[in-house]
Order: sequence, then C-alpha cells, then structure tokens
Amino acid sequence: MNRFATEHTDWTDRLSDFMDGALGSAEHTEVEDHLSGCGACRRTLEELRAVASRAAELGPVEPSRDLWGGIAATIEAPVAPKTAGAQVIELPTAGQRRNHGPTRGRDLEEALAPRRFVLSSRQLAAASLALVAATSFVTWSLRGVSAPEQAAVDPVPGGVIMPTSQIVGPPADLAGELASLEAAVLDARADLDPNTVRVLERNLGIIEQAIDDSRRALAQDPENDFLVEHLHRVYERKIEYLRDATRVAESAG
Amino acid sequence: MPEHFEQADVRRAADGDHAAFERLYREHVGRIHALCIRMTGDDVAEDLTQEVFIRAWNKLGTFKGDSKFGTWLHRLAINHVLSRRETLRRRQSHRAHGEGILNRLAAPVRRSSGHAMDLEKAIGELPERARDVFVLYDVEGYSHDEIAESLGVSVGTSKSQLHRARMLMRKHLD
Repeated sequence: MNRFATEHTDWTDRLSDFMDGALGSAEHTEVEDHLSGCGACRRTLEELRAVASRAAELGPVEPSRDLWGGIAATIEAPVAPKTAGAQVIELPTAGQRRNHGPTRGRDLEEALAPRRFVLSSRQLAAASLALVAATSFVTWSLRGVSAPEQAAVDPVPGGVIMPTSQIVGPPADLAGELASLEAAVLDARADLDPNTVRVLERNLGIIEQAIDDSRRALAQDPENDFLVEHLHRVYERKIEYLRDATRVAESAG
Repeated sequence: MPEHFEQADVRRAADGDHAAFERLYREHVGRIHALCIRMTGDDVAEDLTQEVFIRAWNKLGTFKGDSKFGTWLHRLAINHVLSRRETLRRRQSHRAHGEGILNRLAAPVRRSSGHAMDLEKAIGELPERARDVFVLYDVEGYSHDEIAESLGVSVGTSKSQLHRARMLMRKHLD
C-alpha cells in the first residue's frame, strides 16, 4: 500500500467514530475539514450511514416452528419418584434456584469467567462405561439372541420397560422425539417376544443408569458445559436405541 | 402487551405460573430469536432461543424490576449466546452426520423479504467478533461500553470491529 493509500485509510478508519459522534471536538473538526475536500471519504461515509440505518430497521424474527412445546416440557418436567435401590439427587426447583440464584449483573461474569471443572470422575466414568455397555448391546439384543444368552439376562426389577428416574426432564430439543419414541415402544411391547422385551428392559435400564449418573454429576456442577454435553449425548444414544427398538417392533408386527 | 400486564405476568411467572410465562415467551420470542440468529446463524438459533427462555424461567427470581423485563431478558440472552454457541455448534455439527434427530421442519425462517433478507445474510457472513459488535451496536442499540463489557474486549476494540463490520457490509448495499 502506498503512502497516499495508507494516509487515506487513516481517515477512513475514523469515519465510523465520526458518524457516531465519538470523536473529540478537535478531531471531529479535522475529519470534517478532510471530508470537505475528499469525495471518496464522503461516499464512504454515506455508505456507512446507510449500513447503520438499514441495520437499525431490522426487526424481530419468528422461529420457523413453535418452540414453546420444548420449553414447556422442560419447565414442567415432573420429579419422578425414587427407584428402589437408587439414590436420586434432585436438582433444585425453579423456585429454589431463584432464591439462591445469582443477582442481576452476575450473568456477564458467569458468561465470561473460565468454567469451573468440578467433575466427579468416578461418576462420569461409571456413566460412560454404562453407556458403552448399553450401546454395545444394541446390535445383538434386538436382532435375536440364543435362548441361553437371553436366560442369562435378568429383567429389571419390577419389570418396567421404561425406567423413569427423572431428576430433570430431557433436553428441550430432544424431549419431543424422546417422548414419541417411548410411547411407540410401549405400544409395540405386546408384539415383541418376551425374551426380547427383557433384553429391551435391561438395556434401557443401563441407559437410564447412565443418564442418572450424568445427572448426579450435573447436580453437583449445574453450569458445567462438559456435563451438559455429556448428558445430551446419552439422551441421543437413548433415542438411537429406541429407534432401533421401534424398527424391530415394526418388523415383528 | 401493555407494560402493567407484562409486569403482572412476570410476577405470576416468578410464582410458577406457566401460562403467564408462555405469554411472556410469545411477546418476546421474535426479538430473542432474531438476536440468536444474527449472533450465531440459523443452525443453532432455535436451540439457543429455547435455552434462553428456560434459563430466564430459572432466573426469574433474580429479576428485580428495575429495568423492563424485555431489557433483562435480552441481556440474559446475549450472555447465554456468548457462553453457549460454540458448544451448540459442535453438537450441531455432530448431529449433521446423524439421522436428523431434531426432526426439524423444512420451512425457511420467516423473515421480511428483499433488503432485510439480504442484510441478514450479509450479517451472517461477517467475521464473528465484527458481527457481534455490529449486531449489538447498530441493530440492538447497545453502547460501546456495554458491548466491551459483554464481550470482554476494550472499548477501542469494539469501535474498530464495528467499523470493520460496516466497511464489509457496504458491498451489500444496493
């Protein structure tokens, strides 16, 4: 860039501040004087004003779908009863959070502060191992196993096909599909072989345990993005498993 | 919505009234979603919009009423977008290789046509920091001091990024 271009860029760089009234009076006058003799800078200034003016006219944008359902599903999520033998750590309710929540002005600090990484490695490791175990079952469990193998798989105590160890609801973006898949699997249960149902219960129990473990870790550190992401992945695996289950049920029916 | 109605709904929602919160959602979702789209792009904006309202629900008790609810909500949204968008982008990228878990509708985002759409597209093409400042200053009307505080940059950086954004946006003018 030649010397003239460099000097001109120096003027151009001040045009936004000039139009926003952000220059001191002496500098403002200096830029005004330059503009009176520089057509290129006057054109640039007009364009900058046009950009700012058009931006200020931009209005609201409605989502392409109604998002309220997902929000409602989350804020209305019930706290399910404790399952036998499992200690459920409940996340604070909205009211409890409000009472102990950060004060106004804390949002910014929260957003910019380095994330605390308070993670129970034991809990997360357990959740991860359980998830690996659960997903490794997926391929064989719903596509037929031998009778001895099936006999070795104990049903979940109580025989519930859909363990509901809810501490908080599933992520808003997955709640709808998860609910519909769970309903579909429940409907299809009667069409499935009893041994397949036991395998299904067993594997869903493993996934639910992984979800519970992740939630417990999250309950100790609710703002931990890593845990939020981990829990989301477990839910995604559950959805994948339920999809497989519905496909098998459809082929069986 | 008249302001006194909104204040009443805020109080009801803070006491756990879902219907009141839904009215607040419907009143403000367009502006919050617009912010999310402009600061992040379409692919994660709806997730972020949902999260903003869920977060607002959880934090309603901290709203003291010394500003308008919309102002408080908007500020909360900015902070949430800045802290969450990278995580959501990684997740979205992962989902893109899957089987379409979100079951999204194919309908395009409803926007005003013509110039506004061109400008929206142009905003989406700006470098991220320049886009943040441009959206917050020229679209949303925040000051450089406020923007600098939110983004964790100096006021000078905010000003220079705004100028950079405006210069890049010029080519999208008619």
